[in-house]
Amino acid sequence: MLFRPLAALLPAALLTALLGGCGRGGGEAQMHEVRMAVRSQAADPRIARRWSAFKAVFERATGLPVTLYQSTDYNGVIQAFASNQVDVAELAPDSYANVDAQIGTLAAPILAIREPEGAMGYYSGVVVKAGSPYRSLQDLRGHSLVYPDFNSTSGYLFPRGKMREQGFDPDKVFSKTGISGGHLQSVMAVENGQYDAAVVYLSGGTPQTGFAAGPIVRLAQLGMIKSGDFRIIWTAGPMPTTALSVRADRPQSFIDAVRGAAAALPYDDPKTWDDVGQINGSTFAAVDRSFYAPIIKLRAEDIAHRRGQK
Amino acid sequence: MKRVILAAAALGLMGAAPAPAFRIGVLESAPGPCAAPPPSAPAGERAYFQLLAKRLERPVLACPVLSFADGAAGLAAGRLDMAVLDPASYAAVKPAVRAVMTARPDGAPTRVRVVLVVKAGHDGGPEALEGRTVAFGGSSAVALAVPREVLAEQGYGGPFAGREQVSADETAALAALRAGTANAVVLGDAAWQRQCQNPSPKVQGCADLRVVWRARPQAQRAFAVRRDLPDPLRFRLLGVHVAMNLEDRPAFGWAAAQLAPGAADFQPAEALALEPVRLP
Repeated sequence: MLFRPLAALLPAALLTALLGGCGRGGGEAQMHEVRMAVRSQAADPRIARRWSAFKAVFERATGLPVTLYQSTDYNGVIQAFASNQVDVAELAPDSYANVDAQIGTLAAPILAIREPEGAMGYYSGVVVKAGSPYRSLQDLRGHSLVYPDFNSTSGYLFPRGKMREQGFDPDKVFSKTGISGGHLQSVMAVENGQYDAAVVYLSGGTPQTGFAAGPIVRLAQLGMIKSGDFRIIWTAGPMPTTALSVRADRPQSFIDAVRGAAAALPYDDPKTWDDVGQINGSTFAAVDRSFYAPIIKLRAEDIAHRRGQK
Repeated sequence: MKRVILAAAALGLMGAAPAPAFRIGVLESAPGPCAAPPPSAPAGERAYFQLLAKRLERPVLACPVLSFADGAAGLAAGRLDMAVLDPASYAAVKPAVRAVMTARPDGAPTRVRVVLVVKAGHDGGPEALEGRTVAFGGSSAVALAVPREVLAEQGYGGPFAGREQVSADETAALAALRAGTANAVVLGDAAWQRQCQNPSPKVQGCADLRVVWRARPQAQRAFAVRRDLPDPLRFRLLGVHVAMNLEDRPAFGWAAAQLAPGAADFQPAEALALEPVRLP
């Protein structure tokens, strides 16, 4: 079995919570296995292949068995990592900011994707049906918008901050907003007429070149929609890319091995790198907390907005 | 089981005998024994060897080499564990040695993958394209300078050089190929993906075109190691180096200068990075 549900870790997480203040939960003790939290996307088999590839390379790098724990949403990964139930996780930028707020320097972002053209960022986009009359955010005033997840950077935090900067209060201008549970689900909600527009991630390019990846491309490749049936009417970015993160209280030798093995993958095995859904020619680059400082600030501002403090 | 034990030992996760010293070739004007850099050595050099010794949990020694070829010979003979090589010195020891990392100059792209594309059914070899028009998908480094460099390395320079047509963007370059105003297109692999990935399960993207080859730019200098260096140790070595620009600037400045002036960071490299190979 490739994945185990994160719920399998819950009793231990509860114990950790009860023992909070009694140390760091044994993170510095001898490691006998590597536990990794990942977010699953049932509609995209490439994601399972991606984690299968990382599992194999981390086992080769560390000599330890690697167990993957999957969550269907961002929050499951965030809480597993923050409560010291896993050693490694792929954290979206907002997820890292959330973890940073909980455990500070115990969370170490170590690698992020560098796009082939050199940029280390991706984009948010608002998409609508191509046959709709909407051409700009202005046209969406009084209409409905769906987000993928409260904890999504490209689908919630970042675009909402940029909308505010441009004079659109996302909590006031739309007639209805909702959470779909994921980027693919958001596009399907527009396809099915439940919402007028969706906020989604876009990567593998720029607004000038177009994008190689995103939920519209993926759903079209899966035969579920036609990409020409959708139009991008607004973009925001680039924003820092997702962080491969480790618990900083693990042995340094383990952290170095994980970082090196992951960074080597696009060079050691480019076919697998492409096959797991990465952009052709992209690589990993080392990052640290400072890379995510804008997202940490944006998250604090968004929380203040939601609490009516700004 | 043996591999697991080796990896665990390489990670220092189990009690093991002290690890043997890791020996790095350093260009010097005179030969000498392997040793830790003396106090008179540049501060960056001392910082680099101290950092590696701490992170690899073993003595790390500087071994004087008189040239890249001397370093290559030292690697092949087992006297060194890592040294800087260039393509010529690597060629002599290729069966025993592999590239492991390069340095990316500040502001430059990584060694991005490039594709050569022709119309389906057409020959894309150097002879077939001799003197013909090759289109590039823009004028950025990734669209023009890198593809131009790779084209020459792959045998399309010199007598086989064609006419260059710099299109406005990747879409225009492929349009020129389809219209017959260009005979081939050279693009970054991501541009090819944007333009030509399958749009649906039943439709093949750019079925009228053919990728002749994919290749990365040949590294002009790279840190190289012996091929028998265990992967777990290679990964640790990489893990320390790829973050060195963030974690230890003096050490990074000295080490990266061995590969390229004004480097921004270290990048892992494929085993054959020092030769102009094509990717699978």
